Amino acid sequence: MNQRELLRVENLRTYFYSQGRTVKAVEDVSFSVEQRSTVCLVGESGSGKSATAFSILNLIPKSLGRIVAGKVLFQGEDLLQISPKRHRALLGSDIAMIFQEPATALNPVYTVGEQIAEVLRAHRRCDARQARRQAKALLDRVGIPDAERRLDDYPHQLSGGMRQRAMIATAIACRPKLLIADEPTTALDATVQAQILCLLHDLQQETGMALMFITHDLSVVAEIADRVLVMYAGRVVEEGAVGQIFDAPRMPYTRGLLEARPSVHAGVSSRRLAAVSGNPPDLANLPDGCSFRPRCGYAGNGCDQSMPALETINEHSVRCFHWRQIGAFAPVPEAAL
Amino acid sequence: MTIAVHASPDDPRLPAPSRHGIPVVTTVSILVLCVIVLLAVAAPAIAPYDIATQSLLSRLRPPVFVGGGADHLLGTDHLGRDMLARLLFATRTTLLIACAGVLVGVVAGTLGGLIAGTSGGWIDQCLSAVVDAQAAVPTTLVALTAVALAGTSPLILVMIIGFSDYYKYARVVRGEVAALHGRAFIEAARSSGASPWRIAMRHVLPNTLSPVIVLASLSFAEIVVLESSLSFLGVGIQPPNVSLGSLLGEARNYLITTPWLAITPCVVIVMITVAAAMIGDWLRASLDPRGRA
Repeated sequence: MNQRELLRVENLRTYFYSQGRTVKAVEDVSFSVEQRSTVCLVGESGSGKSATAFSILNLIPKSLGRIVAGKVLFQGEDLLQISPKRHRALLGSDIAMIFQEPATALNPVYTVGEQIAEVLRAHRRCDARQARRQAKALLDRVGIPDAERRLDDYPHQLSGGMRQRAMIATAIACRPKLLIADEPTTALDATVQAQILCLLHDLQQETGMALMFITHDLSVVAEIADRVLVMYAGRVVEEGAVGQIFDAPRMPYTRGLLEARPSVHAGVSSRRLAAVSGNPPDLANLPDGCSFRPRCGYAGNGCDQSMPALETINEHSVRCFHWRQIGAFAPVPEAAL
Repeated sequence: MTIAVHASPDDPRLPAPSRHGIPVVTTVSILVLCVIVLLAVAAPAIAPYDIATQSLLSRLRPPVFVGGGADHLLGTDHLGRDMLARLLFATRTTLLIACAGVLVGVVAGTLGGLIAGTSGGWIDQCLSAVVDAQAAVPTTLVALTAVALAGTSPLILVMIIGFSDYYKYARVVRGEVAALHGRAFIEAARSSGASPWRIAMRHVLPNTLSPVIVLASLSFAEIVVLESSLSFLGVGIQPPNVSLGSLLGEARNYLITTPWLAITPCVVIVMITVAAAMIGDWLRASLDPRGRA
């Protein structure tokens, strides 16, 4: 086992059950996260990114679905097997999560200070006054001005960016080793988004935590990622270092995503955006063979026969029968990056 | 219609908003209720006579405002007992029973709703079935059965009142819990390692309280009436204790000759219920997030 490895997910499968159908939201997903690194999970809505995150925390509501197979090894401990007590002790202290909608992820009936203090007091031995002092320091750290006064504010008194900062403060309160961020900047406007990304980056430098970042925004990925996992229909279809993914994407879907980004670069700004045609497949009724086949411009022999295996060369994995031939086509224009 | 909407705030036709944003009606209601509660609390100290002392020579004296003497301000009843003293103690009893009944209902209902909503599955179905069945049975029937089985006592009365009322809270809280379940801050609490019990008590419960408070204040009025009805029927408070309902029950026989015996407790009942309903209405308006400016 790699010395720097913090989290290792092996063959994770999570199925949701609704109206007699089985929705395969996460299908055979494996990856690992090293200490201090940033891993981005990218994909369309419904590709299984958030389901993967919730499965890692073992927080899939029992009424909706189940993790049917797989291991989630955090520092060697399988989070899916440990006792509920041990699980609760890890969550919030060693592993923390931040959410897409800071407006709804904070409890409206408690002040920001109380919510930070609650996490501190649940996981660290400290009295109310120490917790308050630490909460103030945390609000200072995440860049909330006038922290002393803001401690006593309720979430509705804060702006969207402030709320996300407060959410981050509660998440990092116990200095987690792994922070899972589920589209934390999607609900924020562009300038605030950049500030939050900077903040997360600085915090990562400072505390050495690993960051698992879920997003559909490739410009964010380019900004922060070390490694990138592209998910499609519950499976990892391409994984590699950020440079590999952006400079030499192998999977047609990844290429489609990269080409679908707007660009402000002169000369290409006038072109129409290349959308990935079609819709994501029904996860309860996947097509035969490769799930991406119906939307793939390169689909050919064998694509409808079986699901291609994840093939790894130079730590760059791809799930496609024809990636070698596709690689010979024109690369994504440099300007689009 | 639009004219009224666009009337400027300093339009003399509009009632002047009070300084703290509390409507005048609500302020008056709060004052009335406070005075009644104070009088009820102080009843043993300020009652001019013992409530059970009879004086057959001075029975059915009229109150002072219909020509009675100053020694019995509200007159006397058919056994010559001082009505003012009886009214003070009756109010005290009624308020006490109503408060205890509301409390029983709120606690039982909130807890039931919280358990049903949190656990879901067959527990939820069982509790919901019990609640629905309960709502279909008339309270008076339950009260008469309970009294027939267990006899009358203030404790049984409180229980009857509480359990005639709890299903409202159970339904509301269960609905709120279900609505809160998918909310991100509950997920966030789970992702920071909070146990299900902790989440239910610390994160879900406080978010369900504002509808419960509104419901409790509105049903307080109903409960005062319910207590009075049960005592009027004779299954509530028993002599020598008095409640507003039992005063009315005794006054029933003298309605034609000495109507004030019934009128005074009625006025108190109306004042309590109207004030409580007004306060409840105001609470609903001010706790409802959609109504907040």
